[in-house]
Amino acid sequence: MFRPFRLRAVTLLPSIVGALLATATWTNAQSSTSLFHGLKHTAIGGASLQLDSARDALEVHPHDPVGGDGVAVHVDEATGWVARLRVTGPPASPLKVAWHAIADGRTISTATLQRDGNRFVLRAAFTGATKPTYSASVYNDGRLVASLGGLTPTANIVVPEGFCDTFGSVGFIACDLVSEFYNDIIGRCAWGHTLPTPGTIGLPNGAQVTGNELRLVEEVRPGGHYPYLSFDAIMVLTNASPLTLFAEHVR
Amino acid sequence: MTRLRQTSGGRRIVLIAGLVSACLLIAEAQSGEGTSGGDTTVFDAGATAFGRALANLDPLRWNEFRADKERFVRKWPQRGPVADAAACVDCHFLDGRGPKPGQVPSGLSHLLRLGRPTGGGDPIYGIQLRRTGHGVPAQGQFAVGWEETSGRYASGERYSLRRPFVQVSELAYGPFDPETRMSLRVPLAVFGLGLLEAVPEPQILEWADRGEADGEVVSGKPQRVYDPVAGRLSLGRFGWKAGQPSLEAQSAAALFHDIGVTSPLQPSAFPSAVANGVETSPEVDRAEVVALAQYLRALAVPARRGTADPAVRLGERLFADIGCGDCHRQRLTTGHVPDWPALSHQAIQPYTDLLLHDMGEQLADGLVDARASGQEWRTTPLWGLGLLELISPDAGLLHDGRARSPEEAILWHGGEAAKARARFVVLRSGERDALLAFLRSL
Repeated sequence: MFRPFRLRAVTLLPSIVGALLATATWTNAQSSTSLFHGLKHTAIGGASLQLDSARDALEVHPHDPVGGDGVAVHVDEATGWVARLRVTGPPASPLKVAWHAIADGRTISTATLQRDGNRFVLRAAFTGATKPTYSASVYNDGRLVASLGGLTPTANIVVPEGFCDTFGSVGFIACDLVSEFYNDIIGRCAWGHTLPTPGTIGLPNGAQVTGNELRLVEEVRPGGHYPYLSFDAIMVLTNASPLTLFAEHVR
Repeated sequence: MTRLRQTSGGRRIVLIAGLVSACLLIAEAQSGEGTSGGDTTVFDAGATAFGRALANLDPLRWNEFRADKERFVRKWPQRGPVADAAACVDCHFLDGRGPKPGQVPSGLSHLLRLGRPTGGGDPIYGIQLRRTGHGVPAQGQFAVGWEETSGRYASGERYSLRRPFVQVSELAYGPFDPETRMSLRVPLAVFGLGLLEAVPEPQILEWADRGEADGEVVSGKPQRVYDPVAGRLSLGRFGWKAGQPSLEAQSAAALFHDIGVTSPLQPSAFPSAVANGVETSPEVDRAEVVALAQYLRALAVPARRGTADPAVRLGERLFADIGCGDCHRQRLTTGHVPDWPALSHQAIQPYTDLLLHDMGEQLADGLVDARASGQEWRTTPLWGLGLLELISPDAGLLHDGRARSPEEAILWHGGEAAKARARFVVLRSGERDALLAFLRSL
């Protein structure tokens, strides 16, 4: 199911070298604002941004060990944002990524992915409903394999870190994923996370299913709901070292 | 052991307090005290409180509501030739009373109405000075300044008030007519309007008649305005001087006067635009206006907060005792609304009588709007007042935003409300705080 380590290491080698070189020279290249794939990116907190034109990547180097730094992607009344990204961290670190969708100057939804031992815990929160809940659907190569509704912001979805690669003698970890946020046609907010390979995903009801894609969709009860039509920015806060954006699209 | 006993006792106290609070909340819910919009009420004390769908909205209307909101937030491509805004949300951010803080020129928090003591607008500029032009010059610009004044409560504490002054510049078509007066206005919040539209006319007129028959100082006057939908005079309900009779008329007027979009209900262009040879055929059809009105109709009223707080309860009594409730009527009941069962037969608490009242010289703007004189203003609904500080922090209260707090708004009341103001001024400090706590709970 997973690629052999040697292949992973070879695949990751350029990024390791790149990361090391970047660490050595980044004082010249770091900035607080970057234009990447036509989108304005702004550093948050003590983070610095570094454009890597050779890899067509934007590296986000946070300083806050608890994940208060990151990057804001300005999308200006978009209805969808999707990015391919890599989260890199030292062995056994409490690696964390938090995505915030911003509209009207405030957070309208969040998703967090936090390392806990040899697994990641995924959570989400939405604000459209006065009693906000969401559904989680797991897909395997595009086919729906499980779905569960009524989830609250404290519900844990467990994703084993098998989709990540380890490298180096001390076991650094690098996790690739495609992350997405969108407002759908009936005014719901939704997060999507696609992993490079399928793994056993644990749902809050105890079910274990094999899949590579998770869709977390706000549950809409029309009465009393607040319809979000678009969003203005995505903030990605992390303690990764670094977080690398490889591609981004908005609609 | 001692520590354990104390902890156990503390837990008991917390548990008992929790049970009491729960009982109070249940009692409040059962009495309907906090549900200002009846069954339509939503429970949200945050930034989205004014923008939620009616709690009892027919699910079949959800997609329509969402689509109608798109019209409310979009920039109208047909806007112009002169306008103050490009989208409804430019002046009603989060469905509230002003622009997005820090995102648009501060001038958009106000508009400048023009009129004459005999009625009607300026012969060249119309009833509003528009600050942007599309293919023609903007009509002009204005800046708002403030003069501070101060006073003292009977108990000795000082208070400060501010009064606006307006400086007009860059008038593109020459000076105003000598008779023209200016009136600074801030936008009104747009939630709960479907409920106010659904209050049967006789219920409102009953208060107007009773006031006059009793010979009381407080005597509400019904506004009468032309209703372009019905094609006749109707009761005015919406706007600072109740100048609009329905949400359809209100939407068409806002599209025209604020954004510069003509519709079958507001077909004519501005005199200054006509002078520039601008076409006058309607730019949008009536369905667009209806959709905007439907969006407003479906916006819910947020529930009150803290109604069990003793200070809030005391404030509520004082509100009635000093006479605020003579105009800010707590309870109304909606009638049957065809095609809108969610809005029908709801016991609501808007704190308005929807009538015009003489508010005294201090608040007078000298503009006549149908039956409303320069000193007369519609009683502003108070529901949602406590959330304005969060949602529209820069808007201010009263028609020109001069009041920075409900306290200042009360202190500006005059005319028919002078007695209520006088009673407020002699309240003890704690009583005033209680009254203000009540207003913040709305």
